[in-house]
Amino acid sequence: MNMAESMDVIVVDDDPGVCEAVSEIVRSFYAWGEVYAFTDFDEAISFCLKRQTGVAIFILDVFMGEKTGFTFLDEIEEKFPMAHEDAIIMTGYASDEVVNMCIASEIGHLLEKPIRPYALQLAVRAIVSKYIKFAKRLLRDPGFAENALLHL
Amino acid sequence: MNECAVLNKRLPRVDAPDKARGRAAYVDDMRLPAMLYGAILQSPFAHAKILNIDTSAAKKLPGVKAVVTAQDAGLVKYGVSPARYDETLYCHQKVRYLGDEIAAVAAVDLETALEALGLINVEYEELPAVLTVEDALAEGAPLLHEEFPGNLCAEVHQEFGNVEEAFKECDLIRTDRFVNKRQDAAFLEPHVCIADYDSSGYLTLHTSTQVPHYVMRTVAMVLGIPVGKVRVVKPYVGGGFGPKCEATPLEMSASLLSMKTGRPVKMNYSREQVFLHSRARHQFIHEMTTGVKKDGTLVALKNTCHLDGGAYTSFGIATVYYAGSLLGGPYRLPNMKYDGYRVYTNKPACGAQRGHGGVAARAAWEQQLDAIAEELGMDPVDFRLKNIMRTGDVTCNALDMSSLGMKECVEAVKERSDWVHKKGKLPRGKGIGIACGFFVSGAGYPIYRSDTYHSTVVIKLSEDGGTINVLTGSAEIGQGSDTTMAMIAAEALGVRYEDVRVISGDTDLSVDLGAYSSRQTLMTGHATKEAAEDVRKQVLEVLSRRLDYPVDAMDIKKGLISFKEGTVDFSEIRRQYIKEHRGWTDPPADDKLSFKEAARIAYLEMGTIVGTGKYKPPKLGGAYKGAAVGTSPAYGCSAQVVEVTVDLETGKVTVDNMTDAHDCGFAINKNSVEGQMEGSLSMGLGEALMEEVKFDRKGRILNANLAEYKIATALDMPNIKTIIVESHEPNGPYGAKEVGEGAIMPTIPAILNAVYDATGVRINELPLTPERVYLALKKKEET
Repeated sequence: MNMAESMDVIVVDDDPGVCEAVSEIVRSFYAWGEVYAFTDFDEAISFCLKRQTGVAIFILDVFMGEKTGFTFLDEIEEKFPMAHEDAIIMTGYASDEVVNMCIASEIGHLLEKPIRPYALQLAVRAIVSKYIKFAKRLLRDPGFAENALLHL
Repeated sequence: MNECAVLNKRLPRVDAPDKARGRAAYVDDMRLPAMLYGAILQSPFAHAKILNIDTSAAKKLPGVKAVVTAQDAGLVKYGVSPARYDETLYCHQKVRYLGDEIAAVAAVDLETALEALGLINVEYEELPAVLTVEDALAEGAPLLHEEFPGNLCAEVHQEFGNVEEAFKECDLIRTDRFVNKRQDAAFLEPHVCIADYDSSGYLTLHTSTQVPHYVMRTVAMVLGIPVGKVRVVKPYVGGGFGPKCEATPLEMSASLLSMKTGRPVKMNYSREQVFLHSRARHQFIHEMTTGVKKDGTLVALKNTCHLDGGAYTSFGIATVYYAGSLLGGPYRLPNMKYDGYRVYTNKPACGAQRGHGGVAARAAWEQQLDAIAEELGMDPVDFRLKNIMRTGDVTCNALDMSSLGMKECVEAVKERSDWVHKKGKLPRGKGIGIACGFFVSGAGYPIYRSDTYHSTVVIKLSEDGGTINVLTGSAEIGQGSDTTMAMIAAEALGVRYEDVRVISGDTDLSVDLGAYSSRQTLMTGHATKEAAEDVRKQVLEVLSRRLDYPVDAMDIKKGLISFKEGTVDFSEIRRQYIKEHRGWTDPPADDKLSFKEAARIAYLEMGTIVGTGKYKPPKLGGAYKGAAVGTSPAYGCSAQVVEVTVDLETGKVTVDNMTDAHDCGFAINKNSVEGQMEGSLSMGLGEALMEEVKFDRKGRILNANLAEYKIATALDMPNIKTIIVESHEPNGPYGAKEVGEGAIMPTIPAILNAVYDATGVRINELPLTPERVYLALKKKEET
């Protein structure tokens, strides 16, 4: 399986309007995979755990009823070891508490709503470029590729 | 009206010092000896059969004093409108929404009561739920109430003139669909009450309500207590806005538990329970077709509306009528057809909220009128002025505009907003919009069929004559009615405002239907004025006898007696008063006879001086079915111009300026009038831009808290210009009429029209969240 093709984007927000708008924004610039949107936390978890690949880009609301974007990442972490690094958290208000939770969870991308398309594009690009660079090196550097395979 | 000593001024509110100093006591501040705490068990399912309820374990828990279910409460049906009583205090066969009440517990403390709830074992059989109007109306949909096939709670069909024939004469016909979202009123103080059933069989219920009178009647009916043995007292209230206009399961549970235990019982709704109880704004789905002549003359309106009512009727019968009847004005419209359907769904029941039934309808129509004006090439202001109603006009559905400064309002906002230099001239992303609206000054009829007075007021003078006690059952809920009654009493009696004390919100004091439909200034105001005039007459008649001086030649102004003719020797009265006054600290020092002296002399002759006043409207409205809804002795009206900035990248709408003109008749207290206008604008802004109660697929509310349910705060408020347009309302006390709700009517459509002006996009769904606006902008780009 080509890793680039499996770099899907998974949007989870209990507000259908936000889900739809964010998905539309991502689709407008993103071509490395599909965009899936969920308003139901549990449904999104189930979808992720059934996937074959263990990488994706996650765009998550902070608070979804009694659940949070952070608990979402915790629940899928075993299947998606890079989930926290590959997540973009969205919040209506970037309070100190939310910022500190991002730092503590090693999440590097926090966006305030309403989402600015360029900011979302840069955040997604920052995550995907890491994998693209990795893939390119695998292709161009047989020694690196052999070493990487040994570590799998 | 230009000779008033007290009215039409800017006076501080009578409740301001207590509130500013933190002295104002709300129900939650109250404690009674031996008081128990209650809690309610609510359904975890949106729709389910109840197979069994086992309370035995809860009853055994130490500290629990009573557990009640439908077996204890009985199955007396209640609601708001007797035409549709469809609730029982506790569910007995099935639950109809996630939050439906099943049982209640009283215990020595709240923690024990909550623990006991967890010990009540309810066996359910879950049923399929319907959560949208479409699902509820679908063929074969599960029924909420067996007696209402098709889940139709109520339907209305009205036609005035002949709409189809009228459309044939139109040059332009336009149809639009418009959807708002269910709201919560988001008052600061959740429902709370303390019930105390004494050993003589009298129930006293302190509660946070807008309608002590209706609560008294409902509690009495459901629990089988004579109305005369129920006293409802409303202390300070932290907001109502409509959903506190009916008796709640909380109030009835506390009362029942107090009857069972013989002890006072206190109960609160949590914020989540406030959302679950709801009774706030419905979701309305309007489809409107409007026809006009090419010169802009309005000819006909066809309005079809579906309301997502939730599990019970609450105020819904009135709401479904209001969603049609309040489009009869403020424009001359000869033909109007309305078909309204209120639909049961497995969600909390909706009810009344500021601008009852008319807000979404007004938003839909005023946006459509703007679109029509554009298609005709007319300025939206000119289009509205061409069709505007005037004083003396009667709508096609028989609403009598006995005073109407609508034209003056439109002209005022046009001028003060600098409309001429802004409309069509602002850069992309900035826009300006206008809208109008009107509202009742009190419903013309009580909720239950009765010839009752809508308000009675008692004014009792203190023994020394120095304090005028206004005793009223009316409900001060933050809107300023106590201040209004103090001012009216002072004006009518001729005394100083600061000598009037208002004691209100107690059903033992007088009859008053409460704070809803913007009724208190007009209705309680009438009764207050009459009571004050009664007191004045009694005092002056005693004085006349003592001085042998004609009553008609005496007057009371600013607390002093004046004599129109000649010099009057009142030295004997003064001597008597000073003699009576021995040891007191405030002897009269003026060379004029004071009202206080006269009132004391009157007391010595007649005993306690008590004046009474009463009011009920005359027969109002047409003769068609449903004609009562929308009738009122008077109508207030508003025009607003709103300016917005739309972030074209994110879709975020920022309201920059609002200019609001409201015709409130004769302004009693200008500060209060402006406060009500600003409050309406704030609520309208929140409703337009951010408010929506959201549900998941199981019927659970996703944002039942004030962190996730967004409302407008001070930080969201723009610059506001409030313009009081005064007319003389012949049916109002001193010419006064409403301001509490009419001012919200134009806010949403003015914002919608401004957003269109800024973006070229018409959005037919509320709220205008950034995401909704972004998607609409994107769609427009693509097409």
